[in-house]
Amino acid sequence: MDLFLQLLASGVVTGGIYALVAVGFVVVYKSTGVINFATGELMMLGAFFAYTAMTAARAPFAVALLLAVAAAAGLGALVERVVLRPLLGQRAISVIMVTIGLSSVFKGIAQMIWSGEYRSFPPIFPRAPLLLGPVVLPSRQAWPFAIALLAILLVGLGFRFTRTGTAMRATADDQQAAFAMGIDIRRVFSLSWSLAAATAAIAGVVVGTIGGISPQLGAIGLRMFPVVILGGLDSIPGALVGGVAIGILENLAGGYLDPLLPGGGVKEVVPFAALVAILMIRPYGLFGTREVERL
Amino acid sequence: MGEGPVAAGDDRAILAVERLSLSFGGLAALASVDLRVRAGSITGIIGPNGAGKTSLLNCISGFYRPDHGRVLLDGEDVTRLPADRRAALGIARTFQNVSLFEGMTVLDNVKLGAHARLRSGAVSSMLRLPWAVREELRLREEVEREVFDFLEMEHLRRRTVGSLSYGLQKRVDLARALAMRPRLLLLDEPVAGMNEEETEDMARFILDVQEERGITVVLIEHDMGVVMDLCQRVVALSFGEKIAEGTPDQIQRDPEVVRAYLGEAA
Repeated sequence: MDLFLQLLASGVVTGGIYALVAVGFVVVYKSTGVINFATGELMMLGAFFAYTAMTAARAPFAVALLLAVAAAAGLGALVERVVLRPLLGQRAISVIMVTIGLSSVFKGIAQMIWSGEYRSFPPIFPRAPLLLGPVVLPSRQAWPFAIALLAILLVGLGFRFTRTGTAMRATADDQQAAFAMGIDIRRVFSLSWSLAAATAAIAGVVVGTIGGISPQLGAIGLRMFPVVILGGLDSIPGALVGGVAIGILENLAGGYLDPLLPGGGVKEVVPFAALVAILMIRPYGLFGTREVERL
Repeated sequence: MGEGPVAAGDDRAILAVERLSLSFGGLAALASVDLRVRAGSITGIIGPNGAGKTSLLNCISGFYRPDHGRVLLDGEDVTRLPADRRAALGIARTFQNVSLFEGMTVLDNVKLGAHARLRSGAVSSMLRLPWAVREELRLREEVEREVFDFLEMEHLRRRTVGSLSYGLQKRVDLARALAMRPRLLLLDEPVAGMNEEETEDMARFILDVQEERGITVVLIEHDMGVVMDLCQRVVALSFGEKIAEGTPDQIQRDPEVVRAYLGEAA
């Protein structure tokens, strides 16, 4: 029973962080209809920004995080303006290919600036683990989890209750109607990329504090597809539920099945097995909008 | 053409379209179309399918950019402005196939129409600062009075748009456009797909919009009964050209119009 609770708790914690990464996908998809394959690389750059601020400028963690968020938001807006806007009106597949290209470019740039070497953040969080009854959460997981939840909450509330958020939802829902209502959709696109990049930066820092950073950190982005597909590509609550569900599934499967297999690795496989199942049963996810063909 | 051009110094033209041309890859959708719309009038645009009616509307609302020609709103050249800026200047439109924010409630849809008129920024509205809250409340009250009461849809407020009948969805589309407090309202086939009762309701609302609000209306419609009942002036298009303009009576008797609709044999 203790093992189960422990695995469950780790699952929730990992899942919260997955959810934050997923939100980065959702924000861009929601308002622009593009799946951003460079989300993982935006995370990686965000992590390096914060790392550099902490090591080179000796900034405290909170400041470094804010700097990384600001830098990433700027980068997101720049990418939208320079790379994506000229593609406005092109087929989704072209735009998606471009985001794949962007991911390689970002990886290359990171390699050039920071080298491929593996680094870790200086110690950040208090060392005392969090004790919840029989469950022990190492502080280097508990804190990132808290940060991730807070970030998701902020993005979600912003989408729901601010005017800009409303404009974004409206644009996501029906671009031409939003345009006719006087909503500046180019601004909405630009803001969405900023917001997504900022979210990714937080996710990158969070992941980086747990597992260290290198230009390969972005690979985790692709592992988020089970999460975004399960939750629904256009739903923030869906990202949260999908993240936690996959996190728990992964941990339980890993905890119980890995010891039975000589090679282990169940943890990596199970989410994708789930992905295939979801695509067969409910391709628009738990909370996603079901596409209805209209005549 | 049935009648001479509108004399200079006649009633103010709120909308003037001058020699507007638009082509899609060599196919002319509009060929040098002129149009003057008097403030406070209802003008109908008719024509067979593919005549360029919606293209004309899209050029006026800013969805298409014409190859040649100008669009003037109250004398101001808006040809180069994108749709969102034109919306802010007072051009509202509805869509042929309703184009509503489906996941949202009727109230949210209508409030979005008023969105562009709000002044408080993202930060103050998020922090619920007093003036932002006040503005929001004022907007809410105004929308209630000017839109929900006016279009008799108080009972629909909380409904999700997707759950409404097609006729009601078209009414929400109109409501959202009215919430923009437009000077000029463009309606793309406002009664298409409606049953008789819904059509009558919609026609009455359009008349009310003009008479009680003084909003200038330009509408595209295939239902000739509606066009003849509502419009003071009718413009007929065929293959991107204006073939006739006049009162509904003149248009009905115009040989060019009859030929465009019935083919050469007539």
